[in-house]
Amino acid sequence: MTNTLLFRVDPDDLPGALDEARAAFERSPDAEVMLDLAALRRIDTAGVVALAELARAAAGRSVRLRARGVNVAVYKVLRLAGAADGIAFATD
Amino acid sequence: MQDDRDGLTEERTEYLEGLVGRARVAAAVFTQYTQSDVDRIVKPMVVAGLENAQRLARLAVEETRLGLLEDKAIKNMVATEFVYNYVKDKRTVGVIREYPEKNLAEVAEPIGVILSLLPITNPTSTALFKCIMAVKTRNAMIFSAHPRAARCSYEAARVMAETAVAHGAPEGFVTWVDEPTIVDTQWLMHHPAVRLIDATGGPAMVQAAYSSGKPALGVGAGNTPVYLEASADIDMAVVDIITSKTFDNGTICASEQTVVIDDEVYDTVLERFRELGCHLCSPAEVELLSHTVIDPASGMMHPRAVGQRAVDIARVVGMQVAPGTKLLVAPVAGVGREHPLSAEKLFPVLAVMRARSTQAALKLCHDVISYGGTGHTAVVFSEDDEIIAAFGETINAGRIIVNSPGSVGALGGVYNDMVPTFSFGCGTGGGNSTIDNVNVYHYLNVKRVARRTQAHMWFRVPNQVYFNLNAVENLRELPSSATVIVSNPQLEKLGMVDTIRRHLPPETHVHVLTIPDREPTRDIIRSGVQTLRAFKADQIVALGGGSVIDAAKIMKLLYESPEADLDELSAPFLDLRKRVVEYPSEAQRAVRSRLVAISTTSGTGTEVTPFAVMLDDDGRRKITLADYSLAPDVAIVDPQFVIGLPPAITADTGVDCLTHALEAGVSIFASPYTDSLALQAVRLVFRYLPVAFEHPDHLEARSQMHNAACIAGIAFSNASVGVNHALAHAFGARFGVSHGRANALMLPHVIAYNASVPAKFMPSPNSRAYVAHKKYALTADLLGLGGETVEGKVEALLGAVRSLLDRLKIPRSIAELGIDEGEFREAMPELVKAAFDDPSWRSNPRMPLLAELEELLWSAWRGREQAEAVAVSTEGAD
Repeated sequence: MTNTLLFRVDPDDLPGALDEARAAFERSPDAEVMLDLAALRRIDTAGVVALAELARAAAGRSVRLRARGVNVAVYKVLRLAGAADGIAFATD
Repeated sequence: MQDDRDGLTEERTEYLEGLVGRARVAAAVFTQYTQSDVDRIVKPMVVAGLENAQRLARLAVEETRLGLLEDKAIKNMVATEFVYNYVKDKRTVGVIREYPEKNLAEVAEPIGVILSLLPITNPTSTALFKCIMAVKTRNAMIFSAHPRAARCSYEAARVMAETAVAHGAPEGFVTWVDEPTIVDTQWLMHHPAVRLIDATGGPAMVQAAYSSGKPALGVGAGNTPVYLEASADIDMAVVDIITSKTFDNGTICASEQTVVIDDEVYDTVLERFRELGCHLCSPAEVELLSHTVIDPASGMMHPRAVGQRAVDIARVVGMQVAPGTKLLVAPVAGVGREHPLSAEKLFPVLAVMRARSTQAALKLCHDVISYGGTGHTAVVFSEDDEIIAAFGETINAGRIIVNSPGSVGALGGVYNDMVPTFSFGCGTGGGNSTIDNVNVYHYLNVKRVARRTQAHMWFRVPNQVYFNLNAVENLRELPSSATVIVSNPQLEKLGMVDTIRRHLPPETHVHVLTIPDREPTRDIIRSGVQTLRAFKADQIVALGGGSVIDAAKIMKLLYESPEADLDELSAPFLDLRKRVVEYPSEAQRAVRSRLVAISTTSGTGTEVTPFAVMLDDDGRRKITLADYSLAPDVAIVDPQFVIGLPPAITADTGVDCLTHALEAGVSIFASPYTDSLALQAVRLVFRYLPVAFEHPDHLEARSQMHNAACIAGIAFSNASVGVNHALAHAFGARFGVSHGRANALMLPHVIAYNASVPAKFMPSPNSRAYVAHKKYALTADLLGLGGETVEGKVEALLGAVRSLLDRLKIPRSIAELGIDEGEFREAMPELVKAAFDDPSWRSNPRMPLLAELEELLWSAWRGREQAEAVAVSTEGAD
């Protein structure tokens, strides 16, 4: 059974939340990381870069990185920026 | 490490990838910004640009050694303040334009990452302009500057970028290539994340952009001709030309290059140039300039002359000119390589030519702009609007500047209301994708959100309809000096023509024209027209069935409009409102006449319809004409003309009426207006047709059937018919089957066909759903046929129709008519083609496929099922 680590992202501290997520999967390499982005209405360049880096790190450790609650504007940003590769988006 | 594939080292590639990556992220983040977000950022950028205008101008002059500091500062201010004035209220985010009357909205979508190439001639102003455009449209920009203008260009970009980010723009939305090379630029042009190339620069750069396979905005070279026409305000023209040509030492590509002057003012104009500080070159000086400022090898301007002052150019080439000389004015005799100074010269050397006429001047201007400047800019000084119009139509230039300076005029927003820009598109003549002044809308993908629109409908009623017994007496109220009665020999023999005569006003001259009682041919029509002309008819009374009345309609058309071409007027169309052909209007008619239609069958309804059917010359194909101008002016629906009609004709024409009503009822053009008429006609037919058939002299039945035919006629005049008629026309014409009978043979098969789920729906903006089966069910309800479900009611209606046809002794099948099966099979391709070519099916609720048309014909060949007697309630039919 996969251990899913859930992180609810605070829009005021996206990089912090992503750092936490990264630390968590480095501690638990078999886990699956789920980011709850429902509170994130908008994302800036730093946030995009941080997410892309997290996705790359997860891929490097074969950790499944998932995201849920992503609003369409943020989803579009991630797709256009090429930062969505390596992130599995829940269909919500 | 060298990467041999593209000439870039790994480090350089990584550097360029980094630029693209940052721009891509910034562009993506930008998509979230609202209109007020971007507008809040643009304004402080503009202020920063204005505050730095002079400093950036100084940097530009120092680095490029081109142009004039003061003019470059003005350009920087135009690129910010004037551009802002244009864009500040422009919607560039979300819904940017709405057309409520068309249910249409335009929505902006940013492009993404734009690779923007900057020129050497206007480096800072172009950079300022493009940064404002980028933010306003939520795009990211990667700048690649001319190597000799990189520092000043990037300083301008830095000022803009820092201000923008400080006010909320995403980091990295503006980046630039340090120490740019051609290889760098080529690599970036081909990067998949670069979505658009905006190439403001020389032809080689523009060519590279268009060759990259990416969407590109380019600019072209200019070679601006000026026509200084005799009526011009010469003082204003000369000052404008000097102002423009010396602006920034002539570096704006829209500046004047060759002035073509009308002969009668040539000397005056040159004298004015001289008075205002210009040097008029002698022939020897022209020759000298031709081989110095123009490179003899290429025929193009020498780069070292670009943006230099006139006095400096004169000094370098060895000419003596007065201090402070503004322009070197060089008379030339032609255009082309033999006349080097007719080429583009981005410095203060101005070619002038003499023209002996306006035509000669226009040709010279055409030659000048075609010599390397197609699509760019042209200038005309004239007070003659016709000459200005002729100039505008003749010269291929995106900017035709009238009575103003070319360079500053072309920028837009200063001397005129053109959109301000620092990128001049030159159209296809200049190898560009646009001829516009490049502006915010070129930095957007404009999407259209198109909501469903309802097509406008109409409901036209006949001008006058007189009905009930002895309605023919109304003829007396219709004044006429010459009336031609069109009828057939049988009706004349029956005395009906005499009845008409008796009711016409006594002073009317009357002539009778009898024609065969079948679909008219061209010969019959032609002969009828001759008769109308010979008698100078002002009234035509058509007394007969559908064929006679249709013939009269077409005769009237050709009588009143002799130039009308029947082949053209019978051209196919999909939508009556949009068709290509126009029927002659009332105003275009050579003669006017009144058409009175008196039907002797119940019936085609043609006494009130805008349709007329005739036979093609080979007699095997029916041609349908359709236009509201064909509808008779007066319809007289008088049952005395149908009393005693033989049963077979009663049956056939009665079922024709029923078919009209049922087809109008399910047509895609059906409306509440036509439905009420169609349903009433159906009721009347079911109630009275059997009575009229079995009791030919029953006045009430005849009267009501006659009304039913007219009512159904009004219904299908507005809603049209359907595939039943298309098929009936096809095999009826081919095998000589009467129209009504042909319709009757198809009717039950078509009802079943229309009531079932279509293989293909008919596209119709006014139809919200497929409802034919429901309308048949509604008809069944109104006839009191019973049935619990829609399908049950449709079956009940089918049963009632079959029962009616049996009662009317209509043959059950086409085969029963005695047509040979082999012949029918052989004719099938022709029948299907004719049916598909017939416009009648275009209003059918179900779009017929060719195979379905064939199957319907074969169904009718095989025949309808035996029907049980069905009790039809026709309450309310009276």
